[in-house]
Parts: sequence; C-alpha cells; structure tokens
Amino acid sequence: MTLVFAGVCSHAPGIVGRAHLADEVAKDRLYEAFDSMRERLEASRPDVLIVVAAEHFANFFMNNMPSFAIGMAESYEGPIEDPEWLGISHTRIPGARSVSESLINEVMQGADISYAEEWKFDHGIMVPLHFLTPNFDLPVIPVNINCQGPPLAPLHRVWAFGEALGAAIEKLPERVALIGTGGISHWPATPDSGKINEEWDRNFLDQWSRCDKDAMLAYTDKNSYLDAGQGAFEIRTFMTISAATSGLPGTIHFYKPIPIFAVGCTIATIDLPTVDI
Amino acid sequence: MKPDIGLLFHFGVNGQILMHFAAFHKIEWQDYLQRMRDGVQIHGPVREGVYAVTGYEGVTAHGQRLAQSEQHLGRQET
Repeated sequence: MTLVFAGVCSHAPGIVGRAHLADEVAKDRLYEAFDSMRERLEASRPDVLIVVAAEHFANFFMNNMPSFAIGMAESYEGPIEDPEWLGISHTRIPGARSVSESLINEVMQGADISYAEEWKFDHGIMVPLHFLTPNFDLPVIPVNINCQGPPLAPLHRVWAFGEALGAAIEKLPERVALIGTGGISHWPATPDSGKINEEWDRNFLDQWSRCDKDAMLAYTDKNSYLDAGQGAFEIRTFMTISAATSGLPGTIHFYKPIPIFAVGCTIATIDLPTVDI
Repeated sequence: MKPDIGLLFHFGVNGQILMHFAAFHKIEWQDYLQRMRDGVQIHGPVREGVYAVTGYEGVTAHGQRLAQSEQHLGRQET
C-alpha cells in the first residue's frame, strides 16, 4: 500500500480570511492543530498529495456539474477568489500529471468520474494547503465532489467512489498522502453563517473515527439540511477518506466550534498502519 | 451605489457567489450577513435554491454563549 498519510480538515475561508476577527486563543489552538497535522504529513514523506474537496462554483457550475472530478494538470493556480479576501496570496501549485492520469484510469474501473486539465483552486483546497504545504511545493492532485448544487451523488455512490480512489492509490508506486476537506454542520455564506450544531458534529465525528459505514450511509441530505445546514453536504469528503482507507479508524485531534469561521473546526487523521518503504 | 445584497439573496443567488460579489463591492462580512437578513425581512423568504433562514442568533452572541458554556462546564476543544 502506497498510502502514507490520510486525514481530514476544515477548509472554511474565514479560517484565514477572517482570522483577525476571531478569538485569539481559539484561533491559535486551531492553527497549532494544523501545524501538528503538517508535521505528520511531512514525516510521511509523500511524493504527491491528493486533496478531496468540495468546490464552490469556482470551476464547476450548474451548466456542467460533475459529481466527481479529478485534476490532470501539470500545475494549478489559486486562489481563484480575491487573495486579499481569502488572506492567501495568488500562487502556482505543482501538479503531477502522469500520476493523475494513472489514478484516473484506475478510479474509472470502479466509479464514473470526470477529469479536468485546468483547475483554479478555491478555498476548499487553498486553505488546507496554506497550512499543510505552506511553500506550495508538494505536487497536488485535486479531487472535487459536488456538495453544492443538488442533485448530489447519493452517499453510497460517494462511498463507492472512495473505495475506487483507495484501490487506485494502492496501485501507484508513489508515496501518496490523502486529505479530505470540508465542513460538518454549517450554513456558510447565508444569514445563518456561524451557526454550528455541535452535537450533530460530534456524533458524526464519532462515527467517522470508528469508520461506522452503516451509520454514515444512513444520513440523508434532507435531514442533514434540516439539522446541519446545506454545508453538511460536505460530509461527502470526509466519508470518501473513510472509504478510501478500507474502514480504518481515525483519530480526532481537534474539534472546536468557532462561529466567526462559520464551522466546527476539525483536524483528524486516519490510523494507518506504519509504512516503511 | 452598492448592490442590493438582500434582494439578490431573496432571489436565490447562491451565497458562495454572493459573498464574493459583496466583497468585490467592499461590503464587510458582518454587513454582508445583515444585508441578507434585511433582504429576507423586506422581500420575503428565498425564492429558489437550497437556503432557508433558521433564526440564528448571530456570531457574536453565539461566540459569547460558547465561551460561557466552556467556562461553566470546563469543556475544551477535542
């Protein structure tokens, strides 16, 4: 198995863009948790980082909305948002085209996907990279799951996609790191932005950490929307990581609702077997 | 003249787009949120899309309540 690191983290734009409005202690603790995740990532010595994110109408819009898409470019750019608004400077991020192509070919054995040879990263990828690869020097393969514009892929198809992704990663000779980014309960960019259902979040994270597939597949978008807002559709990214890692449990390193960041901020990793390559 | 964020939200413009439109017009975050709330008050519920307003107390009140709760319960982040 070539997977050397797997985890999930939040990607809310406010984490960087509205940092100046946050409680300093809460912000510092979150940033420390991101630093710890970066140290774990670096210690795993990956050749490439696959980022499973939920895009926000930056590249994919309602005229052509893939359920699942994987990037296949030599390089990418980001952020597509106003750098001043996001608090992250515009930069070029290296891709890994040949690895992408191999990955896509293998994923297609188990899931129907789209690919993109052009992609401008939005906050869903740029915020995690800002903390985890601050020099933007690790080749990245972006993966998008439509969590924005219903109809959305059913959760069991998300699981199948995650399994296909995991199987494809196993066939790569490179050392691969995999992260999922998204929110749990949240109502982003609406009048209710900042609302967080902590109980719902903790329940989901408990299920995620135990890789309770049945429990996670029992969620419905209707109930998630009612209890946890439209942002909760992004649990798809977290579930993809569970499916890709063959049911391994995970560890929640950090969870704290930070309303000005509009999400319960989360840092977690999958408990992978020790890899010695 | 600044754009009518509240009316656009009422029409169903997705917040992932609307928040950037607001930022482009130099509308601060909290002002952006309030303009959407005002729009719903003036024009009525969102016509289209996946949004519904839940009567959220607001970031400041929520943050204060969480801090008080943590002090009472001694609860920390995971």
